[in-house]
Amino acid sequence: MQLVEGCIKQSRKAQKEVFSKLYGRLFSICMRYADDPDEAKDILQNGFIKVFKGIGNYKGDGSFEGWIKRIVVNTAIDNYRRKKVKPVITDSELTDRVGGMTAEEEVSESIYNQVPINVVTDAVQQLSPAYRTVFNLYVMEGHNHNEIAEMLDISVGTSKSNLSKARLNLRKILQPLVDRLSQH
Amino acid sequence: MNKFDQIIAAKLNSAEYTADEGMWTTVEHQLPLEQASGSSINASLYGGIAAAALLLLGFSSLPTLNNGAQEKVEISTIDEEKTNLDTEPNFEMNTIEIAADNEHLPQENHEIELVSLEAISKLKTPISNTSNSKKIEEKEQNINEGKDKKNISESFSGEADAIMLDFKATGIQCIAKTVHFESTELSYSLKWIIDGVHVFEGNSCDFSFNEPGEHEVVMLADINNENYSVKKSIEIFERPTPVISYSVASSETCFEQSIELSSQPGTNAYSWSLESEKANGSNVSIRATEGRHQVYLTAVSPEGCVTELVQEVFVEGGLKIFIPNSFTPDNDGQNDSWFANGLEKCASFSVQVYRASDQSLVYETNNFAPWNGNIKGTSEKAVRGEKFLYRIASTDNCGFKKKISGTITSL
Repeated sequence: MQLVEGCIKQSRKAQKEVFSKLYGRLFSICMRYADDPDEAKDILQNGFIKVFKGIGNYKGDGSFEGWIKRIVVNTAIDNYRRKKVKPVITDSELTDRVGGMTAEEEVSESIYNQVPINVVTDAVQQLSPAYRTVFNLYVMEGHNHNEIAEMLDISVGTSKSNLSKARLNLRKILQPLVDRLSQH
Repeated sequence: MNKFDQIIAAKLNSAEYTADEGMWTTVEHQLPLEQASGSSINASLYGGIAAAALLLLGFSSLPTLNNGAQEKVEISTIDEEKTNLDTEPNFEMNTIEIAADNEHLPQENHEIELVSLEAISKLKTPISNTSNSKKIEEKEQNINEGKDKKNISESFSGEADAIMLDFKATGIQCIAKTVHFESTELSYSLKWIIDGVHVFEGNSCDFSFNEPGEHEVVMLADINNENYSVKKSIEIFERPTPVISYSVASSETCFEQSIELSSQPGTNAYSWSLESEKANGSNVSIRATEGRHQVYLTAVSPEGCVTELVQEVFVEGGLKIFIPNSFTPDNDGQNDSWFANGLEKCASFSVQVYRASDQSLVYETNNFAPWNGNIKGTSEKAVRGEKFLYRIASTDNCGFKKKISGTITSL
């Protein structure tokens, strides 16, 4: 709580401590929403400024870190909205596949455990912003499709479709490496 | 969440990154001043000013236009009823001219020029309890008035050569900034008296002055049970009080308008920021879109004293582009072609139209040539109800680049 109080007083020491402590975790969130590290840095920088300027809005409900994470995620979504990039046209075939997976597919999934972290991050960044944002909100932030639809001003069907396409595209991007790993 | 999701999530969550100190400098620069009185503004502010000099804003490049009719790109669609025709502009390679006049500003380790009030003086009575500042003050006063002082030349005969006693100060000579006083000799037991009131012990002390003007600093040394003092004065300066003026140069051929900002007196170093744009100097030009904006100014006096101000500016006018979301290519003489009005006022632009169904390129131009609905490379024409996606890249007459995308429906 001392850190929070320090931040409320705009104490540079407290703010710097929060910055240093949370940078890694918050930057990894931004990397998931951004096209590249530069964009991730822009998002995080704006997020930190919002956090420190809006610290008065933190009422102590829930953890301070959780509150900061929400602000950073919202900043990433604002950034996405600013780019005016909207989801691609819904593909009903793909939508139908959401959540469906055979036992064989489940077993083969373990190969993805061998994919290096940076490769996974790069793959997520290669997704279109629309797919990537839905994927992050659903898989990483734990929102459901109704919530995502409201947050991004899209239909539930589009949210489902984009999640499905995000998964498929991720698999496509990772496939060459997964093939090589499978041979060994 | 399926197993694939779980694995990807675990991977993404385990990514580790080290803090970017440069970002902290930029963030810190945009934050309000600390509330506590007497607190200092970190010296990294100057790093922030320097970092701003390298500011370069950009965004990802567009796909090229010259890959022919079969080029397929990943297109994003915009629901037509939600399409914002005059989208919020993005910045591309919009560099700000920065005046590099901040380099001379004092840093935290800047050595302050002190005025010597009294060289090494030997006190008649040892001071055993320096926490009793009043007693010390009295003794100092006595020394100053010559009542309690030995004949220095007499007392120092034979000793003066042996005693080396002096101190220096580093920091920024401004109110609320920390000044570091340090003895040049480390082998003595030292005490410090600042303005006759504040007493510290040790080889050095840090102090923040809250009042501008001359301040007296005395360093006392206990050498072989004899007390000696060195007295100096330090000048502390006020924060700058700049006056801001601004004007907006309106142009109908540019998306953004130029805000000319100036601040007086010109002897200070100025750092401006408006949203993500930054500029340094007493006279700067920052571009902004129509609307109300807050410009933040940080003024740093030649002594390193800092003041932050906010100026609200209002911008109106500017180049606007209107993009129809439908047309009727049926040769009835009305709305037979589609084009973005206002593009002709741009210095350059490119327009690409893609079929929504297969994302194939159906039309492209770099000139003012409205699209009549003909499908490029075929004898086909857009049919009623067919949806298309457009992507426009434009550069206005001020060099500002803007990308717009959305949908068109053939009716």
